[in-house]
Amino acid sequence: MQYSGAQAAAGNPAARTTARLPFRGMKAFVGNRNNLLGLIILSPIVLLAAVAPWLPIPDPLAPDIRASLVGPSLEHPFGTDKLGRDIFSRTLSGLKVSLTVGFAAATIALTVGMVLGTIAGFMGKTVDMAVSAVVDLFLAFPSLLLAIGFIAVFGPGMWQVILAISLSDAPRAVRLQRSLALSLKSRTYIDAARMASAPTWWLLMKHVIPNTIAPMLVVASIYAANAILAEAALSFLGLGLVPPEPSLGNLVSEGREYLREAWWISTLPGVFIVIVSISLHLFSDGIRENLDPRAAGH
Amino acid sequence: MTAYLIKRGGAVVPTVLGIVTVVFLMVRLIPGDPAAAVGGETLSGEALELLRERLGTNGPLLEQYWNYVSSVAQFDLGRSLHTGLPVTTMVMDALPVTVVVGLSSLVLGMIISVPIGAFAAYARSRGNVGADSALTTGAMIIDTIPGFWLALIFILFFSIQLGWFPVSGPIDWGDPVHVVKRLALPVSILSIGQVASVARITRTAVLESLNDDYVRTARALGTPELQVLFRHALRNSALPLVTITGLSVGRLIGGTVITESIFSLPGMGTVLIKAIAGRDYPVIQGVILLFALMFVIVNVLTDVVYTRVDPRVRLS
Amino acid sequence: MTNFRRMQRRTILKGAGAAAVAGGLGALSVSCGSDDDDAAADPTATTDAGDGAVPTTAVSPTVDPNAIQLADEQKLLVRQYNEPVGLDPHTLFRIEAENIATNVYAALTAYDPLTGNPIPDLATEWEISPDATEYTFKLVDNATWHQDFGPFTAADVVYSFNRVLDSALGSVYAPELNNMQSVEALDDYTVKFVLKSPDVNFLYQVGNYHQGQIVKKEAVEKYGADYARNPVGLGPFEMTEWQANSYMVLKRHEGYHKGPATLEEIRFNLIQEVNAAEAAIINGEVDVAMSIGTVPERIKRLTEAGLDLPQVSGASNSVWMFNPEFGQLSDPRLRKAIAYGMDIKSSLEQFNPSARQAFSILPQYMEMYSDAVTKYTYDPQKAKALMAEAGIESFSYKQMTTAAQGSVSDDILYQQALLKDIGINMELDIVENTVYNSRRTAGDFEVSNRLYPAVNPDTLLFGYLHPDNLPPKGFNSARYNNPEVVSTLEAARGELDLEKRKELYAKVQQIVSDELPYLPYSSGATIWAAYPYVKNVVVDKLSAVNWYPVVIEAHS
Repeated sequence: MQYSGAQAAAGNPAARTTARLPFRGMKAFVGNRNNLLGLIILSPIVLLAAVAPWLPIPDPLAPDIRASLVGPSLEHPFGTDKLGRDIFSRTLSGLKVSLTVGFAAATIALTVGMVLGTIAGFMGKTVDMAVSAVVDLFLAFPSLLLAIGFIAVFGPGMWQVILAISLSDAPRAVRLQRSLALSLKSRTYIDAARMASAPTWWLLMKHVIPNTIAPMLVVASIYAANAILAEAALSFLGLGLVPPEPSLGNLVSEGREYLREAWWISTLPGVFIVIVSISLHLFSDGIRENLDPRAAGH
Repeated sequence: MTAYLIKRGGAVVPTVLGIVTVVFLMVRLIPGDPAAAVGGETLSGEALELLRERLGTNGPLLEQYWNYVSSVAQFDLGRSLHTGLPVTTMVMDALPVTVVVGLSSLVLGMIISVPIGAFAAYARSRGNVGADSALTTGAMIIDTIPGFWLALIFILFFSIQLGWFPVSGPIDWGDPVHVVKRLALPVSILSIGQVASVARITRTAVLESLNDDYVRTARALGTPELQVLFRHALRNSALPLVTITGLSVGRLIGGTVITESIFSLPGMGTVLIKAIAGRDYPVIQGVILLFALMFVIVNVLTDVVYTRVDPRVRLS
Repeated sequence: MTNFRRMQRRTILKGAGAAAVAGGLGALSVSCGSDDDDAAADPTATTDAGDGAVPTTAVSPTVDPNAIQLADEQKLLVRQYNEPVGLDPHTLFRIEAENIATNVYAALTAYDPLTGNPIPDLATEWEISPDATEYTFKLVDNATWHQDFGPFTAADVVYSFNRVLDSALGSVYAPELNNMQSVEALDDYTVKFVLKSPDVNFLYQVGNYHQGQIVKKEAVEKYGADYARNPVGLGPFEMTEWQANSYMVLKRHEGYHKGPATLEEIRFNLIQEVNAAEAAIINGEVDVAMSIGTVPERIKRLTEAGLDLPQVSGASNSVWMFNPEFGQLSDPRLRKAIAYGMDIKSSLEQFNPSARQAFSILPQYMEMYSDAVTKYTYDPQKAKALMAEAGIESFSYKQMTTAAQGSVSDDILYQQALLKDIGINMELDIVENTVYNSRRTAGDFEVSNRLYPAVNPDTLLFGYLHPDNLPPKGFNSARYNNPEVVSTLEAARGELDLEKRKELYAKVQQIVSDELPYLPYSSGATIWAAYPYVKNVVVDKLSAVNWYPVVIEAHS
């Protein structure tokens, strides 16, 4: 997994938050070249995956053995597999599953991170120590290994895969949010609010969450990209989703048998993994640049 | 330094104990009776009791825990449910392959990525945004290609088409040429997997140090550009690289599981995948435990190296 | 039958005559005739045995090693597709393990690789009482055990069979011998079995497979719990090295009773991934690849690469097993709906062209095979009608299946889609081989599949259908128990008249095809790949290769 985005964002949280937060609205977001590019790439793909069931394309699960291993054509833009199933339909269907896995895993990590990280950063020493100890413990396991272990216990399936993947991202998110919260805690306006005896929840909602969401999103988009790749890896190992349900990872690994006769079966869904991951990376870069315009100059 | 080492080493103890606990709990988290999950619902009586014993899930939980911790402390990881072989033997036999593949990939990964990152930074500092973008984007694309797919393509091209590298068989350590050929493809795949992250870190670090006074001074004194880049700027980027090594190892461990199984390498990843498929929990636990311990050791080592490289850093 | 010498030429069956045993005792009297006739009747018998000498080799080499120039180094590298769990005959399971075991162990009889009929091995000759309840075997006197376990004697035979029968051991193969009353050593080289009831197929039960393989008491005791990984046998090759997850080495046994093999060493490299195995053999990393699958594209690629494809076809049938304890499947109409709802023929043509749809539990090559059975061919209307009759619109069930490297076979996925069309939802329950086997043995599944390689019709019919073999002890995973079938089977086993026996077996096959506890699915091929310089690789009826006659021709 890759943490470069997280690294840069986590490297100096205080510096990020001292910068004015241009990430206030969509305007600033779209104004960034990376974000715009990411949006341009990702939105049609997401849209396509969402409306796939209503498109006039073959059922992704319906075999047609008369059309086995047909190359890309007008009728089958991405060709067919050995069973004669339409790879384009399957790719769209797989996209939906993979995007779900990516976003669900990232959302879980983000939510857990925001909640526990804020609590650890703001609450007393004991809570912080307890949370940090658990976080350190989970971070002591290499991430894919943690996912594999989880699936070894709970079996394969989409939600198992999602949980397995967030198991290693969530602690990282907690750690980042904790450091962001800690740096905010010492800031003057928070002190001021405290002196005005504002309730803690108000403090958190008003100042902490809005000021940390952007750096958290920088890493969350990387988590989503990594989750899609992790799902592919798990599927390849037979620890992912149960066939015939296609995910992009399943599709890539199913095609390996016919790599020479029918390159399209695994290559075209593979290209989508790359495209989706890249657009998520672009978001990560874009949001980071929004936070710290200096980074764009570099 | 010694005091530091002792202190840092001491801090590892709770982590290790935590890891052992998590690995212990793994089997207990299996929904229902773990022994029934492994042996089948129809298993009963003596056979079920025997299986519980072999899984260590008989008796009260605390007693199970104590038994587990004390056997692990004696390097006893139980026996495989399928082969009856001691897990310690199985993982120790597989360890050298994984370590050699992992370390070579780490080193090769650095050799490939550091220059990419350095040149990207250099290009950017010289105002060549295009070259910088090309390198960074290229690294990013490579990073998002599923490694296993790339591995299959490599086998197809380099092994089947060109016949350059063997893809099977045990590793004959006595024959260096064979070892290199046998490991070339898996090591390449794993190194490529690190390019993006390492190159990125290098780029950022080099970019920063290119603006430093001493680099400017060196340049002003007419030092050749390459020397400026590699002697001065890059040297200053060693610290972030040490940090990224720790992360890379975590990632490598995940990658090696897949790569080993594709290239039929008799390493720990192969052992793990086979054990998971066969629900051979003592083996799964053993491999995960060992991998996690390796990861902890690497992290401690990077910390130590970090303090060596940068005397400003002290354990707080 | 008490006097060996006098009876020898009349009632003792030899390699050639053994074919007649499969055909039944009715044929026994025929075999009392000229030995030469027998030899002519059986193409695998050595023809130079004009003096009535027992054939000395269990196989008929297709290439005479003396006629070709042998390579200087007779060492072979073989792709092994899965690591055996262990090599103790009483727990031995799965073809990849049996492949090693049949070369490490020897038994009283061996199976002819081409016909599957029992032929002499450790037993040089035998005598069967006219009522087929007593079998007396004369043993070779020159066999020695691997390692330093000394010469082979009748005591080893007695020990081995009693060991499998020992209930404390809990062998899955004990039921194979449940008609055995006793075994005793008459002298060092004569052993006598007494059966509870007549069994004309007993020669199969003492063959080189599972319960028939002879083990050494001292070796079993010496290695104890580790015996399964330190097998000691009387076969042509001995296990000298076994590195878990990596490789196994067999070296030729210098004390083999037929003389040492030409091959000095066979190294089995573990390459699980079939794509990697294909790359490995095309790349020349192994000389032979055990069981390379039947995907037509791969077979084509291997052929184009100039490889030989030794194979056996139609030797055993793949059978779907329905667990009646799972509600829906207790209704035969719904089982039949599944059967009619699948297009097995087309699916096989498309995804596994080396296989044919099977209609009986018994493979077609067996003499006891019957064609007069209910045949289930694709008929979705009939399937719907059966479901309607059962008052069910749609139902779901779990199909336990394995996934080769994470992907389920195209064949299963195809049937899954067809069944979905008629309202049967096949949920895949994907497990790994080892788990698959243990759950199948335990009977812990709704529908699963078994490919049971066997050469004895009784092994299949009793195994699948007799209530003695209920899980978890036996192979009757459908928990089938029909008194009529049981009595017919038992009568058939002891029936001396060949035609009558055939009728009884046909009746069993008809009843079973009608009640459908098991759905015969396909009769396929096991395909290996080998370089042409490796001679005499013959995949036998049990999908195993006897390495004894294999030689390597000189090649560049």
